[in-house]
Amino acid sequence: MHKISQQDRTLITLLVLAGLAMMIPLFVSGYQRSLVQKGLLWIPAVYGVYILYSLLRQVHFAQSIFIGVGSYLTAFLAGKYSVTNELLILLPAGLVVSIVIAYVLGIFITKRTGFYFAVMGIAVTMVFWSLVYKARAITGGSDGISHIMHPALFTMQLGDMAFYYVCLAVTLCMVLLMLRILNSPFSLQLRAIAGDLDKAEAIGIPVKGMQRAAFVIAGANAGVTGVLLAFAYNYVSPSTFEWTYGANFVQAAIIGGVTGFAGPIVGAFGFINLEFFVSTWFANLWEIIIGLTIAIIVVTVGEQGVTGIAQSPFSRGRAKLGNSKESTCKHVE
Amino acid sequence: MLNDDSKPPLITATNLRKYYGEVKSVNDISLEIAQGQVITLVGANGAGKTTLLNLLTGLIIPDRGEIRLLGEKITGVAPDKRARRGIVKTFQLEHVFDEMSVFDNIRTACLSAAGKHYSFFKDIENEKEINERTEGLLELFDLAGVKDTFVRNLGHGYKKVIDIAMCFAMKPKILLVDEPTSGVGEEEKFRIMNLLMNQIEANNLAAIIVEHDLHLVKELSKETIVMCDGEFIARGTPEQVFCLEKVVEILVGKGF
Repeated sequence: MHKISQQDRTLITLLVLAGLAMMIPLFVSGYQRSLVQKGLLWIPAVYGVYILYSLLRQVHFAQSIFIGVGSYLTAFLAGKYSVTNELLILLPAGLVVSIVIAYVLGIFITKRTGFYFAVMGIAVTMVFWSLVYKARAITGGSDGISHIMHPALFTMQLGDMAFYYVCLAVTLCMVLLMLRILNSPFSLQLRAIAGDLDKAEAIGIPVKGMQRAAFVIAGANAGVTGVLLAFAYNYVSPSTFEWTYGANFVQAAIIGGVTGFAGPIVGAFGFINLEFFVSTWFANLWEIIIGLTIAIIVVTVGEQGVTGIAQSPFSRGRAKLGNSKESTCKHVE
Repeated sequence: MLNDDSKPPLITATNLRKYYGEVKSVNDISLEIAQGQVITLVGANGAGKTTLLNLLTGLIIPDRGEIRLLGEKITGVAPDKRARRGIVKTFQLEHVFDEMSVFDNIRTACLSAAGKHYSFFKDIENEKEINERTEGLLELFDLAGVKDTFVRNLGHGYKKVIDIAMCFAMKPKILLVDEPTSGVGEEEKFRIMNLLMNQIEANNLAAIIVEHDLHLVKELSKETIVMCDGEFIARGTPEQVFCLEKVVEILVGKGF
């Protein structure tokens, strides 16, 4: 009999989750749906952070650059210059542009590892932010760009509900792609680089090139997210490029945990829910609460994150199944 | 050993030079190595042995001189490319991937040897050829019993063997071995050395072995080079070389 592998289990869980996400809009208000949608769109960007940390042990603060690039691309083409609102053009365009930018930035940023990688990410993000902020004539400066058209797919104009399903579909594709990549020969060799760089080089692994490729994968994830986020908010501003925004994705990754595949999914929804909950009831306490949450997670469970906490009751003997159960609970909530 | 003149030698180094300020680490050294030729390299600390190996692997670029592999110039080629082309080194202290299973350690090297670095979308479990080759190497190096164990849980001796097995996974043409037995107990020393030498012989590989233990040197190879201040000062069979007065002078206090 064919044995059900861990990967198959993850796949089944993902499809169940996607099914749940499909039904959510039928039961909740428009505002709540937009929250779920935001959570969905965050997932690929958080996977970018996840892939760089769990495989390469690098902390990636620069995701906001690629979200910003994708967002401004949408804002220019579907807003300011009204060229097209066709997702079949904008999504591939966002993908290509973010890949090119990630490749070029990757040449510099991946020159260093550890602390310096993280700081380089922040520094480059600040350069982008100030460029966008200062280039008022093109980017609208601090006012940003509003009045973005509604998106279209196959030239059909999409309503809010239809767009939600497009976001779900795109996120699902990206997550499946991540599942593939995380189980690939590429990923095993990335883990080798993180484990012992000298030995990796000595057995012929092109260290620099592969680090750059991982950086490009992370950036491409955020680029696609950015294209859709601009439509979801119907507005872009330079704050998308602020490094603190990029840090949000690192925070989400920490909340979800960086040891299991469900981490970024749990993290993205955990962060968005926390943000919603706090801003509704304790509007002034956001920084304190997010800070405390992360501190508690880091001290108590460390790399496993929330996924790890919820996993522990199931973990005896069947650690990996528990992993997927948790994410189901999280999503239904 | 055999030096067939019709074929280009495996590796040719011509007038290699590497200075660090005033220190002449490697001073105009020329060296030819043919397939199957095993050379031991001895010398006091700071004689330039490791620098010479690093020049050959590409970790250091020489100030002057050139290196050819099978007649092709490789002086500026990056270390990872040289490793894929068959110049493989082992480390003085074992370098392994602690957070992976023994199987994944060897598999990583097999993947790299097969050039599957940018294979993003293939499921690793479906890499039949790679996985079979990995199993084969585990058998060959007597690691099959611990293949699912995380390397961090294994002792030094095992780690050395894993390190060496990864080198052989690269299908090397020449092995550069930097003090293979440092930091290993007396008993395991011989086991590891035997394993290494048997594999070198079985695959008819060329090798340069840096070794401090002169008794071991006598057993390892028919040819020894003595290095001092960045130059070769003697070359020949170990018996010949170790009788020379200047060599004894240098190696005094080294257990000779």
